[in-house]
Amino acid sequence: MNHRLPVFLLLLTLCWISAVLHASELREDTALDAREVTALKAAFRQNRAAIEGLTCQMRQAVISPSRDQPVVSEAEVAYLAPDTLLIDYEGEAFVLIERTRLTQLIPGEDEVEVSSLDPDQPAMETMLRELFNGRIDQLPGGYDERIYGLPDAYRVVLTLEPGEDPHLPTMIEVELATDSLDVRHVALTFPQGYGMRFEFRAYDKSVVPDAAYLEPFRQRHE
Amino acid sequence: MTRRLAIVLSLSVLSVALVLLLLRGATFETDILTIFPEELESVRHLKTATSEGAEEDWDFFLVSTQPGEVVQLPIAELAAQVRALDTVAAVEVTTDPPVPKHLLGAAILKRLSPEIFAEMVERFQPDSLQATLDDNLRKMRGPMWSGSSALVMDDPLGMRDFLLRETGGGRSMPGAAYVRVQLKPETRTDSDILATGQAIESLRGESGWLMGGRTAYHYQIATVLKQDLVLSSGFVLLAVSALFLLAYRSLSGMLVIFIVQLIAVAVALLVGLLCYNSLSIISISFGCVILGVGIDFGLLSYHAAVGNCPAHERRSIRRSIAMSAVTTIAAVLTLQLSAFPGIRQLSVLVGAGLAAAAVLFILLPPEWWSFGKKTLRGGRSPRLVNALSRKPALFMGGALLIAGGLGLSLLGRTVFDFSPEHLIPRELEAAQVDQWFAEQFRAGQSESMLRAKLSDPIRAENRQSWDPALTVRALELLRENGFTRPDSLSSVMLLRELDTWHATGLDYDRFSIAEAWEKLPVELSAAATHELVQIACLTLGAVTLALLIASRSVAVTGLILLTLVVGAPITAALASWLGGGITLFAVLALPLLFGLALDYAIHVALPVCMGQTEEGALAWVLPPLSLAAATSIIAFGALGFSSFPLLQNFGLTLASGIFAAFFTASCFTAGAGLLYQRARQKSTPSA
Repeated sequence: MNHRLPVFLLLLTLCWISAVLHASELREDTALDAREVTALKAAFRQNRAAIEGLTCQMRQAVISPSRDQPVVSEAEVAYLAPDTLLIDYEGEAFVLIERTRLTQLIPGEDEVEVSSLDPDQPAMETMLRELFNGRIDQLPGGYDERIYGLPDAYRVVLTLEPGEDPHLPTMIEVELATDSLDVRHVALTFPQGYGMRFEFRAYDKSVVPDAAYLEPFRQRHE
Repeated sequence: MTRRLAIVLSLSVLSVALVLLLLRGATFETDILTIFPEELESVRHLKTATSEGAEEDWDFFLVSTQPGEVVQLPIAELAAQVRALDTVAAVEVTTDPPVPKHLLGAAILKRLSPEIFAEMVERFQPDSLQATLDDNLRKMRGPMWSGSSALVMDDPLGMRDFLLRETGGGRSMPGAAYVRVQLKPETRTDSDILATGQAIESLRGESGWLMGGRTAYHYQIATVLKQDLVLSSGFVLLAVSALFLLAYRSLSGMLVIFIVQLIAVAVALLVGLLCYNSLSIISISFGCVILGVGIDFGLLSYHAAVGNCPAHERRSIRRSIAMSAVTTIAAVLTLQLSAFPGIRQLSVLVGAGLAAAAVLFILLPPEWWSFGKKTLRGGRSPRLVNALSRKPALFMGGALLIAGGLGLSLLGRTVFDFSPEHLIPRELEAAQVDQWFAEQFRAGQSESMLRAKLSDPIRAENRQSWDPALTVRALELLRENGFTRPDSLSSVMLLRELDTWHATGLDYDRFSIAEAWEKLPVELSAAATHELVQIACLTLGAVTLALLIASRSVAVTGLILLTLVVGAPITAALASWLGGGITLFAVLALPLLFGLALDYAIHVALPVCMGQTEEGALAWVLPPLSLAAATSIIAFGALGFSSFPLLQNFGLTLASGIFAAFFTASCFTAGAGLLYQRARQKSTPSA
């Protein structure tokens, strides 16, 4: 009997600590109203405009309905304002997005693939770059937009409107850190259970990537 | 009289409204294969292959006839407008193939050369398969921005990659963009399909977009069938009424014929709607048949009713009306023995319509034929009748010579054509869209077209070199590499297709649509010949018996039956020249022609051979008979304007046959009948 009370109190304490730690998850997300959304977008653009360049780490997960576990890979990201984004997959593959060109090397391939980009035309391929430079309204297709406020982040949920091109993601979720407005997480959901997730961490805005750093990637196809 | 006219006019309007209402409610069977008997093996194969190939989720395809050029209605705008329709569930602008990719992949696989297929099988060696899987999993760890990278998510075994490399010279070009439309499941009814098809047609206007797809076939065939039915029947109704008006100058008579004919068509349509879920393509000719044959009863009824017809001729005419109604309906109903569902349905509709027409014309009080006092100008015999009376042997011999000459002209010519390739109108837009997909495939080596190739046979060598154990091995390996639910992968679905072909053993035959089409004419020909002989023998037996009882004369019965023999080569020659040969369905309708020819022979032979005065009988019979033949020729000839080649041939063959029947009856039968009558009168001592 004497032992039961301390054990009970200990369990109670653990439950309380757990509840406090996960309070944010238990709390229901609150959707921002139109005024708050406008203010947030303006703040985001301002924040992005101030960035000359940055580096960060990216974790990519490819989700397939035929697999329990996603296929995960790590990459180094280098962004040079306003139009250049490099994602380097551990030296084995890369994608370089520039103003009018997309260059990529597929793992196991010897030759890079190059495709042209229209700077005035929204494209799904450049979506990650637009999250760095702030052109967040440039998305192909029509999406219904909701933004929720979390304790330490904003969650942007874009749902593809009925009748839009079915090749586009049916849902795009973006999570921004409340304080820095840095992109922490992007999730793309495709029809039939396919999806992709990108997690960004270890931002370093103090070091602007040198153009020379990007040159070897450019030269791969030249 | 005014009251009667008002009733007649009201009845006309009501009859037209009734037919239009019934026609609106009618559903048409648009699957061309339903007109063939299921007993035939090739038909069963074709039906299986068609159902296997019809795994399309999309109902309509809209393709541009000028890809790449500026069209009046841009593709995005067209898609947006179609999307706004209430019946539409989804609209896509795409260059993707119109059927699931694994089916297309399977369609390519089964046609690969045995060497390349063997190379594909080699890829299923354990080491090779693991290497492919490792390679594709590696790709999934890299950038996924290109289509080829995204492909590996659904195809880690690299099946489609292999197929594209082998069939597209390394890379497959996408086909031109097109719009595909999916209907809501609850709107896949006949009326909704027609409404949606019409709405899409009005949206695209004259902008150069073609409409195709599985449901478009349904819509277009149903639309063409309704148009054919309304146009041909409407034309026939107006033409025969006008012909009647010209011949007899009787507006009231024309109105009565118009109403009775419409009511007969309405009765047939009503019987069709009550007995069948949908009307077959063959059956739509019922309107013309009823109108063409039914008017014969009307003409004779008119003759028997008007004022100055002698009593003994009136009795004779009435007797021939009753006999011709019974023999024609009996001949039509023998088609119930046919194995062809469309022909059986046609016989019910025509039988019901003719019965209605015959009953109405027989029961019609004589005063309804004329609102005033009407008499026929029967005082003067036509010149032809006079000539016939003077030289009957010349007419009889002439008819025999012509029949013999025409019969000889057929030597070395193909009279019967049982090939089924002309079943679908070539000008049907959906058929043009299928051709568009085929051209896309050929031009760009794209996957867009293979829809029509889905039902092609798998190569026998490929089927032999495949082993379902390879699929099992691939599944095991996929599970070992983290693909815990591999069945949803398109490469696995493709392998399952191969397994199915291999497992059934019958697959080569089942999918051998080409072989089935080749076998079809032979089987149809055998079935049709068997049926024709059976039906002809039965009809001939029944008719001979009926004629013997009615005429009590072997000679008269023989003369009537001989008329059919003389008319046969004339029919065959005319049909061969006009309609390009007698096709399957025209052959099956020959019993109907047989009944009509018998009618003409009976109308001429009975009054001439059994009547009291030979010339008088001919003068009363031949003019209305010539009108009846003209109206019947118009009725069946109108089917020559049909969009369906099989109906065109059906109409032209029957029109030729009716002409031959009339010609033989008026020359050979009348001539022979007169000679017989004179011989009989000579041998009978005068009182």
